[in-house]
Amino acid sequence: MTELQEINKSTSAKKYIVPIGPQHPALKEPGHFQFTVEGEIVVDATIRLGYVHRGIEKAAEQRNYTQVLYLVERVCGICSHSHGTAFIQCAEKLAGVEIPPRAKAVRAIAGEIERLHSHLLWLGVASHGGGFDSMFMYSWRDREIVMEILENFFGNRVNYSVNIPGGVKEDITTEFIDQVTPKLEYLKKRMEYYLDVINTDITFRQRTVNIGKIGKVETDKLGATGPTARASGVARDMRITRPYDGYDLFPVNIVTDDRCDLNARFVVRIKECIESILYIIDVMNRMPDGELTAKMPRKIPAGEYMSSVEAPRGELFYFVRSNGTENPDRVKIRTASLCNWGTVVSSVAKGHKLADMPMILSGIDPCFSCNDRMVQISRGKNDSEVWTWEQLRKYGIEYYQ
Amino acid sequence: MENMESINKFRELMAEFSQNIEIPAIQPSRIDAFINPADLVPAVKKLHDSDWGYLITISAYDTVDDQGTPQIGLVYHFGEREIIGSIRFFLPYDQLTIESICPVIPSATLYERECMELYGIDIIDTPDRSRLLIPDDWPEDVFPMRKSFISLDQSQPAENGENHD
Repeated sequence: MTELQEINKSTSAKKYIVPIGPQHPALKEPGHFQFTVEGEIVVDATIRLGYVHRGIEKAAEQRNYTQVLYLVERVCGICSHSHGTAFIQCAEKLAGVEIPPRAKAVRAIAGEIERLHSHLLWLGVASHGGGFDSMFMYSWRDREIVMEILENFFGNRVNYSVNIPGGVKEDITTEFIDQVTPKLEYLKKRMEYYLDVINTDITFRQRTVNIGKIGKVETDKLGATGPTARASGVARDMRITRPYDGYDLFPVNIVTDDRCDLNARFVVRIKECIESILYIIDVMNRMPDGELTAKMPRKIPAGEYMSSVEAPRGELFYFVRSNGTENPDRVKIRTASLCNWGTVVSSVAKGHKLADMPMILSGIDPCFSCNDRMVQISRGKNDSEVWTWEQLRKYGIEYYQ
Repeated sequence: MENMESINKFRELMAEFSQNIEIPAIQPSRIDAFINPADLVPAVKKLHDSDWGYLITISAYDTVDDQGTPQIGLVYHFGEREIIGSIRFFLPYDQLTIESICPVIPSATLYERECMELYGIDIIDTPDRSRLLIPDDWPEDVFPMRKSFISLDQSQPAENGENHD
């Protein structure tokens, strides 16, 4: 009897709780889910976070605005520019500082390069979760092109700190345009190839079409954001609905899909990469002239500001309160994947097969960190078996063979 | 134009609950409705039933009133197109109890758990009271985001937010 048959036999009638997490090297941040399964079908899901809770919001209250800018970039290495932008634009608005148009264009370009590397990273992770390892290796190879751009021109692969209070510290030079354009054109061809694969490959479609469906109305009500929302036909993109630095001068095209399933989440993200490439090429050839920074005061006038930024995973929300000193009084951060986790817990997971969980979880691009990760299959009090994430992944692949 | 409609609709919906509705000069795309804490659930339900926006998050902050008495400010942020509409109120330290909005918006559970753990707000009838962010062995009555909290080890207060232990 195979491992799969044994499990099917033992979990055929009763409800079992399957704890997943908190830790595994394949994922980017640790979280703990408990899926209650009835046989093969998931009937309930709960969540426990906090394994990497570092108290950044508390730490922000004890530092000045410049220090906090660098601190919040470390909330997440993947979307560090989005965090920096969301925070510093609160401070700039509170201080009544308007950053120069050229700085806005640089912020927008850096934001789109960040989206490219984040979506390519996700494409690899999600493909790996479903056992499509060639796709995983191809997409990560292509991601290196983006990482090289970041390293060569912004000085670092992840925490590139393009923002400074009142503007940016990197410029888009002629050298940048000459070197980056051919790389982006190559990446565009690669993205078109991936789009073709996910739309035509039979196995890939079998694992993604009609899996993890969440309707448009429900997505809207649950407050889902980013590609997760747009793949359910909700046209929610902060670059368009609440245009901020750069996107107010250079509008971007929105990508949506009405199919509401896992396949739509792949299509939306890949099409967004193509849009990002076209956007970067367009903006860097129309760069406004002028300064890169405006003068910022050290003390920020008392007040409150709420800003939303479209991070690669969705809406990143910052609420900053100033008490008129050099340090913020309160910095509240609502990260992009937190609200999308809610959609998994509330509705997406329920009614699906345990074997689909790796890809459904990957589908929202959850921000997990580099730690170990286990799955415990409970078979009553005295008979439990511990699975690694790798075994759950294999179980999912074997189930569909 | 659409934005003005959203602002007017919010103002209209919140009129019966609000003690004060403000559009901050610094951020014209935002509208804040200050309500009585007892009206929280009906106010949220009204926004939800009228399809005004989606819940972005719930923010709490430790502050003082005009007399200098400590209180917790709570902000329920909703987003509709470009507009951020907030339902806000203050809870004095001796009455840190509110009702859960989860029966109306189930995904609020994560934000409510965060407010309970970090600020010690008692949210009645919230579906899940287990720890979300802070460790399981964290003391029951210590709320790390309050201004009074400096360090678990009071004999060695942390300097400039850095604890070198």
